Amino acid sequence: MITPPLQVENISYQYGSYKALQETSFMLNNGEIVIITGSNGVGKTTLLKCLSGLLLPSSGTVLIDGFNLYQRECSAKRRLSYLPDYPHFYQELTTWEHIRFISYAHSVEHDFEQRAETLLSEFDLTDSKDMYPHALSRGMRLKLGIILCLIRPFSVLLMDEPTSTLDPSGTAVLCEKLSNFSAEGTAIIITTHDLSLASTLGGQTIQMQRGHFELC
Amino acid sequence: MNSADRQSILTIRSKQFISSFGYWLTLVGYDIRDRSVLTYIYLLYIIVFFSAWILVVMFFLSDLLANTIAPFLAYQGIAFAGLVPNIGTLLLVLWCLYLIYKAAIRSPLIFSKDDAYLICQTPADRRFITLTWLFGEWLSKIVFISGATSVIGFAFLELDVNYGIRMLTLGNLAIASLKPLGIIIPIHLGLFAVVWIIGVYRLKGDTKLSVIMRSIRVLVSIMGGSFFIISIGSILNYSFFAPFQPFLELLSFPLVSAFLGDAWWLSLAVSIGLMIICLAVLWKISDKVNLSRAAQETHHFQAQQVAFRLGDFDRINEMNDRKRLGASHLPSKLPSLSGAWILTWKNIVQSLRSFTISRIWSWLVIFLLMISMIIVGVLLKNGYFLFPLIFSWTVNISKKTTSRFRKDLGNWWQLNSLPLSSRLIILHDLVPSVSLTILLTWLTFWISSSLGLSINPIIVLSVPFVIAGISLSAIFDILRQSNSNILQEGRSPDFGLVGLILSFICIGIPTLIYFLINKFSILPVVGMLATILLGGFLVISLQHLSERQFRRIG
Repeated sequence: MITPPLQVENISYQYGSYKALQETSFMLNNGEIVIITGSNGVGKTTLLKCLSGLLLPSSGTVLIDGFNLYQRECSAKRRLSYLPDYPHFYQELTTWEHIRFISYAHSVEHDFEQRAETLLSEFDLTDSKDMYPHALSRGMRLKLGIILCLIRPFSVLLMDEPTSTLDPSGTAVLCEKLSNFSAEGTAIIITTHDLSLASTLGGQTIQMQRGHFELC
Repeated sequence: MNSADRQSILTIRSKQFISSFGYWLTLVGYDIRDRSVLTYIYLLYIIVFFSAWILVVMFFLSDLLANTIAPFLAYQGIAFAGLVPNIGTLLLVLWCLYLIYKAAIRSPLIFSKDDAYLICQTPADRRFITLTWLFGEWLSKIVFISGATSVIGFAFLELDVNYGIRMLTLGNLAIASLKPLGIIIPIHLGLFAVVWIIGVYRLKGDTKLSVIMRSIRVLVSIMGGSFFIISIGSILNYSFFAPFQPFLELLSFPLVSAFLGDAWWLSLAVSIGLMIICLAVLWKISDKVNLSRAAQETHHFQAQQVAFRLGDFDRINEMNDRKRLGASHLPSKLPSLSGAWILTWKNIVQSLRSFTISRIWSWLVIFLLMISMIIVGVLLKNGYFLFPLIFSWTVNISKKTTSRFRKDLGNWWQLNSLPLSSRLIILHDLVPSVSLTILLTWLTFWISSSLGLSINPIIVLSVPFVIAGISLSAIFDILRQSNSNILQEGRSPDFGLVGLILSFICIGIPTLIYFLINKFSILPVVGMLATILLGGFLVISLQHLSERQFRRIG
């Protein structure tokens, strides 16, 4: 039996007494894309944070390629990539150095320069590769966040509103990239308010309501 | 401009003023939002208490000043008292020139980012805004000037050199304070307006202004330097400066009459006249002041002021670092290894880029504290002085060795996504600074030994365990307080009481062993072995605790 890239079992999250995420179980198979939509504050970001290990859920487990995210952290994180809605960066490292840092941390230094140059060129950041993150615009910072997510190896990709501040060409490049990754077998979850993204990517769209959603 | 516009501007400014005043009240435990009777009673108590306290401090300072001047008065006569207003004039002129220099670079009108949207984009009357902002800024400055003026007034009253008043009654004290204030306040406001005239003139945006402003800065520097030399030369009675005496007398006339009472009414009229003229000129030229440009120049400074008031020094350092780093940098040529070693590469690059003299200073402080501890502990054998030194040394080491880790925690998204164990992350962040601290401590021991102050081998041996223990205690406390939501906003908590208590346990163990060895004449080898075993156990335990805490951040 093939292990699915993402298995979520009885996961829930509470902020004090407020249940931001109801108990949920689901799994994603290779190449599956799920687009989660819903009003502000329904728990989309909380769900992705729990799935990425940024938040420790109140209950349940997350398995990435069969590795428990909270017990076999390193093995799980080698296969997981997550983009938050507002990515933060090291202020003393430039765009290029951030890419180098993440690549080397994931031990993917082979062909690093070529892959980095390609991604920078595709997202139109080549001219900004020596710039510090604080000198980049919001959209450019998001593009850098996307590049950092895509430069590493992964079998599960989680993205929180990846197109919120992207220009149309950036959105098109991202959609193309996501389609390619999906074709290669990557499981992808994206939260967005952009409904056209779902039709472009052709994945399953789910409307999240008050911390609850169901995946068929 | 209609009255509604004026009302809105006044409302915003008064809200800002109340907010900054509320900050000081919060420091003394008063909440401006609480409208209960008890709070009002507490407010009354605060007012009475601090009025009395301020008055007592002022009397103490005036007494100190009077006692300092008195011997000179007895020796050189009453004319010596005139030196105080002369020095006051020197300080006031230098202060004014310094502010003019600053106003020729950056707008005196300080706006926050919010102001930039709320006020600077509106078509509200620029003159009204300028004057409202001027009075707001001036009010915060005049409080200190008024206090200093009153202190000098009280001192002169005590010395019996002004107005012929001989009794220290409440009425006389009021006269001694109010008469100089009557002249100082308009002069100060007038000079403040002069500074703003330069700043507002620059904000008009004429392209030729940059040359004018550069000339003003050069001129002001020359004037300041010359005035300082002439004033000091004249105060020291060098004959070379005698031709400048009439000029200096003219300048110091308002202050001399303010404190010594000569031609007080004339001086009052002159200072009020000058103030009115300066304010009128400011009113005249501020009609087309570019407020957006002012906001662009000052919102960074304003944000720093707010961060300083809130004690958020991390934010201030971050803003300063950004300013110093600029916009771009060529990629680092430092070779890097893959896996966890990239963390060390990142740390070296970050350290090289954020290197400042103040960073060396903090290492120097640790070194000096260590030297002081050796002198106090070994040479003077004074336990009372040793404890505050140990406390300060511990706090400094905790801060210094954990600063890199705290910065990394502030970048939680990236740190958490790394396929590296919490142990590796902690070790790579901690080992360089801890090693440097250990070497620095051993260096102070070596220097002390060279100077004949021998250090017990148990203490020397315990250094790595103590320093690693202090750092890990702080790390554990930081992680204990960390929360994913806060970390994702780029903020990381600082160590607190728990960290300090654990640090003192780490310091206490070798101290206890040292004490027991001396008390019961046990072989030193046993003490060394006990230090290694207990120190090692503590460090490993703290490391495990920190790793567990790291994994539990959520």
